[in-house]
Amino acid sequence: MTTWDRLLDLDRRWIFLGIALAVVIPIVTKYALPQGKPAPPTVAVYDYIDDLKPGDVVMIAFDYSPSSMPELQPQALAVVRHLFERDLRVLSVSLNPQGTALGREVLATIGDELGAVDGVDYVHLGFKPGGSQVILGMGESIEVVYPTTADGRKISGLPIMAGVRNYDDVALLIDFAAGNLPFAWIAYAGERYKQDIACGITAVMATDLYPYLQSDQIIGLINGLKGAAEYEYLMGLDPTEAPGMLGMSAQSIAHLLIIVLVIAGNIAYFASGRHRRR
Amino acid sequence: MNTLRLQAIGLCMLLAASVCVAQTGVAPAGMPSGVQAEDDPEEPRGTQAIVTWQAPEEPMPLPGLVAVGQRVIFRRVDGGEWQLGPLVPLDATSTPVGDLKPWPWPKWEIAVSVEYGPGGALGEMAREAGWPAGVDPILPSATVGPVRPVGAWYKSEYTNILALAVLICLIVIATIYAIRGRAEQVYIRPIAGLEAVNDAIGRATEMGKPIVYVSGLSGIGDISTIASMLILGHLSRRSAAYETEILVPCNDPLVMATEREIVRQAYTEAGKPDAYSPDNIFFVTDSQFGYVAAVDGIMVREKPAAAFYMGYFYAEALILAETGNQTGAIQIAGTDADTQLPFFITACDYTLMGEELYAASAYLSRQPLLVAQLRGQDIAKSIIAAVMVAGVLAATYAAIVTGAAADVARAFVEWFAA
Amino acid sequence: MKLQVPLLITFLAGVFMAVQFFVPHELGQTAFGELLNWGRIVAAFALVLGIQSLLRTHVEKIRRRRRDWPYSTVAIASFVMMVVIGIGFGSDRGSGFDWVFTHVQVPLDATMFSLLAFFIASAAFRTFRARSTEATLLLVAAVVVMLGRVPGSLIVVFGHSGAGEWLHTNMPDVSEWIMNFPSVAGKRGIIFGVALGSIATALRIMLGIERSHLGGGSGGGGDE
Repeated sequence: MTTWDRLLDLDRRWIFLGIALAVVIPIVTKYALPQGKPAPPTVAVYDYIDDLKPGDVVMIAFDYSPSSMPELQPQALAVVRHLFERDLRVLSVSLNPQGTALGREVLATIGDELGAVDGVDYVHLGFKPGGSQVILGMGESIEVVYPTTADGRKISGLPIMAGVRNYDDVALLIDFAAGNLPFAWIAYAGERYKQDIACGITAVMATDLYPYLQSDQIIGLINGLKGAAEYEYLMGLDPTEAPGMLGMSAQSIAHLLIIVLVIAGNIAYFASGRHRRR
Repeated sequence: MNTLRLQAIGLCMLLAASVCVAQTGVAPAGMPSGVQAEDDPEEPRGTQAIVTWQAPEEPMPLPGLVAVGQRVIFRRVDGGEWQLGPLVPLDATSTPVGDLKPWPWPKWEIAVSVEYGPGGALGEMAREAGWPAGVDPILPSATVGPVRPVGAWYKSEYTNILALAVLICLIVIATIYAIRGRAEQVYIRPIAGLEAVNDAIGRATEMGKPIVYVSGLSGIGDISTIASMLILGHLSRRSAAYETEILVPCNDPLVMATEREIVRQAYTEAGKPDAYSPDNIFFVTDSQFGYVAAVDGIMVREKPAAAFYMGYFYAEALILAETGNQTGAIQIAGTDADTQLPFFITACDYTLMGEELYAASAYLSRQPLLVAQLRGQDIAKSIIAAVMVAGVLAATYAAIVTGAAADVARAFVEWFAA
Repeated sequence: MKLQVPLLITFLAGVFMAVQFFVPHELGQTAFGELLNWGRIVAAFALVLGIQSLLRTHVEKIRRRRRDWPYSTVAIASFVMMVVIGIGFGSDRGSGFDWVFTHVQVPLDATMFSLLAFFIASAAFRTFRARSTEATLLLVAAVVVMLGRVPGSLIVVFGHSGAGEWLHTNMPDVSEWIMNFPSVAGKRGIIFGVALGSIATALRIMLGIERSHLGGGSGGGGDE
């Protein structure tokens, strides 16, 4: 057996070890890589939010579960930070039962840090089952669908809800999701109620959403961890502290390793003569 | 404690105010007047009216209270409680009013009143505590009615969708009935993944090991899950004939219940009803990665001879398929989740791509009606391709040329884009 | 009769769902919402079946002392614990349920998901070969998209040289172009096929041509 053959038959656990090291070392050492030019869809979301007037209402849907947290939580943290810094009012909902706890965490963390007040600057309305029915319902009246907040307060008396009845009073809806819910938001809130929508999604979903971006059915797209890092970059956050940019360093090194593995695999494939044996 | 006392005082004041308004009897000065209502033409459900009125220059003063806005209220003409509509600013003169349910065809009386709340710090406190901020509007200042919004029975902007859907359905149905008698002559492109189904079952029988069947992670409402269940029916009929065990871990209880019935029926048809074990089709969890952990565990422990992944998959696709690959199972996948196709192609022996999943049932059974339907599907696809080419040409023509022909071309494109 | 009644219900429900899509009137939408509610109610009852199946599978395993049965005790104990904590003490922030969710479910889910990174690497190494012209094109496109997604890594390889800076700046655009055009074009082709397949599958179930799920074979014909 030649060296090339041995390389081709490499025990996959060595690859696993390589990937583990490629991910762990940059995170532990806080190794920061330079960011590339932010993608236009990310810039579109950033600019849209930046152009809103203080006091405008932005609704966030936390539609992801813990499994996609590593990609979507940094996005949500960066966007919520931007919203609070711009003095926008933030309403949050969740159509995924596991997303409600994650959304609450994001709002409370950034809210505490920037002095945003629950009920005045933001409110978490929590989870409602029903998917498209909830989306449609809020087109008529948010209060009917969500008479109370996630922790049981009546929303009608909350200062943040002053003048907010339905999507007509919401400047932008941002859906952070790892499943099919962005399509429901686009179909029902976007198409039916003409609500402007942006999405924060996992990288693997990106090809699903690009057609909607091309047809202007969404105003922008934050795409995976890279999108989170781009958003943090646009906000000028510290690359050694911001979770997106920090994670992006690890992802960059891991990608590089995969590319090296693919190239090495191909060299070994041709050098070992296996391509002739097929 | 002080807060509670203040709230109690506030409530008493609100009650006093409500009595005060009630005793005025008719619309007094300082209340909205001239209320009009008409159907909201923009709202197709038929539950919304646009209400207009003249706002008071100065709201009627009430001792200890401040006017917080104007409240629209409505009730059925034939009796019933007043229901709260929207609260709008004091200078507003128009608002849409929803929730006028059209069933069983009631007519509505709509009114506008000024809503009061405690002023100053007390009011602020009441609002923060989520207390009702206004007066119970028993006697509004002005009413209009009977009013009945009109709903639309057809969504005209969907005409293009309807026309195409009807056209496609007609093509498929017409083809079925036109060629059902000679369906065996219809050429079906060989699909390697489906050719290999028998090999996979044979391998499992020879090795005495089970087959694992995963029918995707979307629920029973998804057409790909239904297609997957149809394939399971064919598969279990064959595995029943060879008495090969088939394990079906489910992540949706409804899918589990249906698949049990399908497999039971397949075993009965194969003449092996006693070999059917409902415990082999079991619910694991509806948590995505909890389910993946369980299925991976089953594969590592049971080392199945064959694994089938048919249906809609998310990020778990590669985790399932790589684990199956490690255990040495022959793997056949089929999904219409295009984002997961590359993963299945990489890690599985055969993959049914997109519509091949839907064609599988016809392919496996070779039943004339199903084969004929495949032909209809292909004709419809050709028409769509032709329309696309025509659309591209028309859009290009309309962009570079002006005149009547260009207008027709533009109208053609816009009809589809509407 | 055993076959006709389910077929009739299937046909009527299918026609109703298709028609309601074109009817914006409140009545149609209310009926649609009501049907969805029925679906939710059926699903809630089915959940009981699911739980029964789950418990039965694991209890049987423990009773018969099958291989790895101690894991089944863990499954049942976890199930009972979450039910007791959730129903008994609520699931608000700071509750025991919330704590278990945050400190057990979240890391477990994330761990399973992270396996994907390892599996992608090993699958790419094993199967991504330039065996043919098409496979080579695919390989090159994949490498370009990957580099475009992580432009920082180009600085690691090429340093701050002219080429490194140029690639660092422009690779994301090339990647974005591949995602936006060739990828979307292919995807749309698949979507057309899938949509037609869905319509045809729905039609043959509604018209009773496909009835293997009802135990009638496919359209009355046998299976081979």
